[in-house]
Amino acid sequence: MKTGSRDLRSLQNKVWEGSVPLEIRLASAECTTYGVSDAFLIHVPRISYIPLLLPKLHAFFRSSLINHEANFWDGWLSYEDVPLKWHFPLGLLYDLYSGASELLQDDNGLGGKKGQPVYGAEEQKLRDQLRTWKLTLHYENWPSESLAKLDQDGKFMRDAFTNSVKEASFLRHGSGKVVMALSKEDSTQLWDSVEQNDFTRFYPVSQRLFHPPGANLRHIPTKIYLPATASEDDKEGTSLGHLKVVQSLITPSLSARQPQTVGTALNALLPSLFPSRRSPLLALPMLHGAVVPLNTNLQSLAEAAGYADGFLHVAVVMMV
Amino acid sequence: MEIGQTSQYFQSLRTQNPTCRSSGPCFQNSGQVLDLLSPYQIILLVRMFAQLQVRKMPRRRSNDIKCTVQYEVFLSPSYRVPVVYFSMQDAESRPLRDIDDVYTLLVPQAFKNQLRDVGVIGGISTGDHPITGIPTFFIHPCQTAEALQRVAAGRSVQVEEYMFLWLGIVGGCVGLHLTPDDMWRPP
Repeated sequence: MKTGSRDLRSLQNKVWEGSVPLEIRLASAECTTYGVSDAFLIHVPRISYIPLLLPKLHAFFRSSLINHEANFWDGWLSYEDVPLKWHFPLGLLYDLYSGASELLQDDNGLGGKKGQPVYGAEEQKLRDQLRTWKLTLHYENWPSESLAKLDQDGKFMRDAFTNSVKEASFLRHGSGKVVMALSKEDSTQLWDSVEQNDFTRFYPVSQRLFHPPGANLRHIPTKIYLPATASEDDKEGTSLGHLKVVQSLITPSLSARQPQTVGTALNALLPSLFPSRRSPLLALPMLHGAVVPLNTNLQSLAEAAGYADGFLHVAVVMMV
Repeated sequence: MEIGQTSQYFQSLRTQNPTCRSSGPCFQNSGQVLDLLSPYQIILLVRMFAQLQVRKMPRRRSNDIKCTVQYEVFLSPSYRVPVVYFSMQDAESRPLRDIDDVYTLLVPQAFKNQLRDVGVIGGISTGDHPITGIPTFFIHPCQTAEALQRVAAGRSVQVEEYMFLWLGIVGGCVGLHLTPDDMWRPP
């Protein structure tokens, strides 16, 4: 299915408009009010990252901090004691940890069958019921086994984002030439557009990056994330809330007549979790808060719903 | 940097196809040879005890500080080249996580500027270890693929020689030197 470019652009724009509702409180041990701190409520764009939120959080919570010396870049967020990886887009973190996906699968009288994902109007009704995602902000005891340190100028965040952009581009075109040919202005604009959540600044650069003239699409940049419950491994020395990240070379087509779908890709990468290419039996792929039907054309999905770095970051959740 | 090799060991070059060493796949593009190895398979594990001269700590009586560097090599699933992940600990086995320590203590002087000029913070980045998920230093592979292609293009290269070519290009940047004698061979 080839989508018209105007349709694609409007789909991408919708993805950029997507946000997740956060309710952030300071860790009680770090808070001068001895217990539950005020809550910071914010809708954060799905394509954004935690380090971009830290200055605002620091400004809000500063007066409640026992440690006045703490810098904004010493801040880290956790969900139920699991440190949240700051180089993952917030939308991905939400899909993985918020538990919203389980809610989408329950039979709650909206007419969906138990264990079956909910779509359409019923889905929207359910979304309205979803509460905020409650997170805890810390400035002490940086969890270095889970998170790399940040810096005042945001260099490490930019480096992580740039590495991801390069990797996605390499996968798409089989070489680093396209991303290396990007002008300094374009590179800066790419990151700035994420910082400011400005799709109109992102779009022109992304077109040069994703559709350079004369280049064939070799592989579709995709990363699949399995939370510890989904993964069969239980290795020692792994960090809390450990995820397994699965990726491989995924071509846009299986043959001249068979395009790659979400189902064929997952069946090839994770056959034990996705034994059928057409129907989800054990697990579901989540992207931008929605369950992705297995028959979705993967190339179209990547063009419409990729994250800012050019990757499809797909969370796998077990079916209830 | 002086390397005092107190102990040194390697795990065998593990492959899924036991015949690959004898049949000698032809090296046509940088990924082909390594398609025999699965993405997260450990190719080499090297532990070296290094005695490093540290110029930035004049208060110490001796300028020699003993650090441990642990190197692990994985196949990048995207770039299809080996990527070296490494971690450093001080004499008390405390992890050294500051990237400045890497440039001060590990990267030979000759490579410092070259490595620092690449990318936002240099050719060395921090990323999640492919198995443990723990943030670990690694050398970014984006230019490795092309460098290797230039060096070995058109020739027939076995996995072992490929690894040494790669080590020559990448390993030297972070003090990883190996000789053919260091390679373990199956009995």
